[in-house]
Amino acid sequence: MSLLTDSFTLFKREMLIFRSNLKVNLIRSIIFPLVFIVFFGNIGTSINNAPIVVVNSANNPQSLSFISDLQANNYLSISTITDEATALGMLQNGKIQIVVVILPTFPSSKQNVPGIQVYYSNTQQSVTGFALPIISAAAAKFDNNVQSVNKGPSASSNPSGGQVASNALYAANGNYKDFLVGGIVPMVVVFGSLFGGGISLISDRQLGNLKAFFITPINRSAIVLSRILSGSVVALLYAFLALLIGVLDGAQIAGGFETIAVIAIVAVILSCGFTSVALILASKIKRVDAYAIFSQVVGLPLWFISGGIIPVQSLPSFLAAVSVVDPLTYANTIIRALTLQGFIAFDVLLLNLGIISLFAIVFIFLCLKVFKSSSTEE
Amino acid sequence: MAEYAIEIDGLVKKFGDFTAVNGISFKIKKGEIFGLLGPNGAGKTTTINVVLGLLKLTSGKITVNGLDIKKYGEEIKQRIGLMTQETVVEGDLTAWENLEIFAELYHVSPAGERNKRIVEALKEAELTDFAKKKAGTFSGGMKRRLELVKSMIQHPSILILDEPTTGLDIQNRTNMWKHIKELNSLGVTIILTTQYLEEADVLCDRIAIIDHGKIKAIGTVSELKKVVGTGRILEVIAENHGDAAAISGILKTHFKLKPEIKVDKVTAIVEIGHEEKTMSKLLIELSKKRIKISSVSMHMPTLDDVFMALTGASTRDATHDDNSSRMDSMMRGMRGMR
Repeated sequence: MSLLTDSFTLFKREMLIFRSNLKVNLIRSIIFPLVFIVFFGNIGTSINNAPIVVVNSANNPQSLSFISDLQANNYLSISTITDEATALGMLQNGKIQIVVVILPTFPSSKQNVPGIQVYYSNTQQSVTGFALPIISAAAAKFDNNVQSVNKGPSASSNPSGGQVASNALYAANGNYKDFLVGGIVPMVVVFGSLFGGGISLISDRQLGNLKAFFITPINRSAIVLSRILSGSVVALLYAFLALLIGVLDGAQIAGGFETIAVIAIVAVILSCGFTSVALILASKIKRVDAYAIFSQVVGLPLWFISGGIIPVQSLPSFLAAVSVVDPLTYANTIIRALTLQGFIAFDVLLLNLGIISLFAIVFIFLCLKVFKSSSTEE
Repeated sequence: MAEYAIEIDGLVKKFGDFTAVNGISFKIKKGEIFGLLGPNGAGKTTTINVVLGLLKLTSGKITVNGLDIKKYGEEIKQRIGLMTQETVVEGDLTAWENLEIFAELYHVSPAGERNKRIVEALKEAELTDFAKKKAGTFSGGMKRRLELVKSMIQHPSILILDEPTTGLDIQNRTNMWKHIKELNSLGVTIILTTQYLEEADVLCDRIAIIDHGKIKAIGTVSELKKVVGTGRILEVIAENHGDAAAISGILKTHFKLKPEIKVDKVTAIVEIGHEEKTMSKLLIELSKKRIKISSVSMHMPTLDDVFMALTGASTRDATHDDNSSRMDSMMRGMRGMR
């Protein structure tokens, strides 16, 4: 009984301190999602004025019409040059990314005779990846063969559509931003818990607050439980703020109330686990600066390999193997399915929730144990 | 009812190979102000932390109000208040919240009683008008007053004050002394550690001097002063540090005294009746040898002298860290106040 009331008293203290520094806490909590979602989420989705040089060696009505088609496209900035060598020189100097040479054979419909030769540098991948399909599409109008020559670090082939008809059933308009928003939630929860839980414990020890608590007749576990509780409340707030930033920036979140409710549950479980991890680390590390670095060392890799910013499927095999033991991977599985698809099979949900709950329970238990023994001898 | 507030019998506390407290025994009577003095690292804070239940004792026995701390840890925590040398009121919380949290942690109930005690405490600390203000905005003296009433919120019968006035200005310090005496007059047993020997002199009924984990002396202030002897203390401060040894040499050879050197200060005990003769002869000798001094004085033994004599703090301080030189300068500051 006293454990509960003591925990609640200390929880109240944590929340009062949180409220007292509300402005700083909120800024700290939104700065990461803001940077990630608004910056990375929007990167590469559109390119304006990609600089392209066209060398027209055909000089026939079709080639002029092709050039004006390209010029009509807002995303490209087209200039024409008569000398191919000069154009290739500009490519080498990095002034432009793409050189389009209209060969004298233009327009050509023969398979092995290209009508247009494209030279590009892959140093600005998003530009070439974006502009090449536009050029191909414009050329297709003239039933042409485009031959691309990569001058950059790595060649990339552009498979043409062919005869496949595709139908997107889920996340039809899904883009990277939609994908990213889901992955940001575990990040803010984990970093909020690692940072908040650990730093406050170390500074409480340094300021003598911990000693002041220890001399009161409270149950020592209350100090751990109150911090896990307050960490969860704060993590919930951070998670919602991250989602809100995403939605305000135009990200789509599939599903309704159920999606939000399940994300909240996942956030609370993760926060319980990672606040415990933070308290265990902070009971061993006595300096705030050392702790701050160490918590990043723990948190960042866990987030990177969990599918938070890139799909787990795109990880190299040795990292994919590590991601199996990363609780964030399972949190992401749930959150991704919900935010992108709006649906998760009940057994899949149960399995993944079970795994992160197990992680949380194990670390809460360890934390209670570590705290009982280590804090006696200051 | 037990006669003693705290009885410590053969307390030993080891940290690995290091023995911080080595067989300390003493009894603190109910209702007295008991001073615990000693150089930094002497074992004062360790002793207090064992009494508070923050550290487990290696061997020995401690009883608080007749209760063994090994068995009655929880009950004892209710009866001891602590004010530490670091001010630990929480700057992010208001004065009221600071008190409320601890009233709850000490299980003061019901809520009506809690509120009554908080109102009383704020009045006591002269902070009623600042109840809703964050403690972080308070001055050092206000924080310390809040800390004092916070450590009394559970109405303990014993209050431990660990360097309660360190860092306070003279006005706040005398104010704090007044509060401590008031609490004592209400029957609260007070245990005080301090760096200011002046403070111990003013406040304490009895004093124990601890060094190297052992008790060097215990008794009332006047009892302790007899340790130094019945003579007067001669104190010469050299203008150049290097001359201290020469001064010491003169005192040894010409006056058959046993001087002690502490950086630029040479002290020696002079028998009563020889004061004036010694003083004038010394000045002549010094001018003969062309040794410049910045001051020379003769005074009654103070607690400082007892402390020096018992702990030999002088030899250690000369080679020690800046903490002890800070202590030295503070003590000099106090002396200037007299």
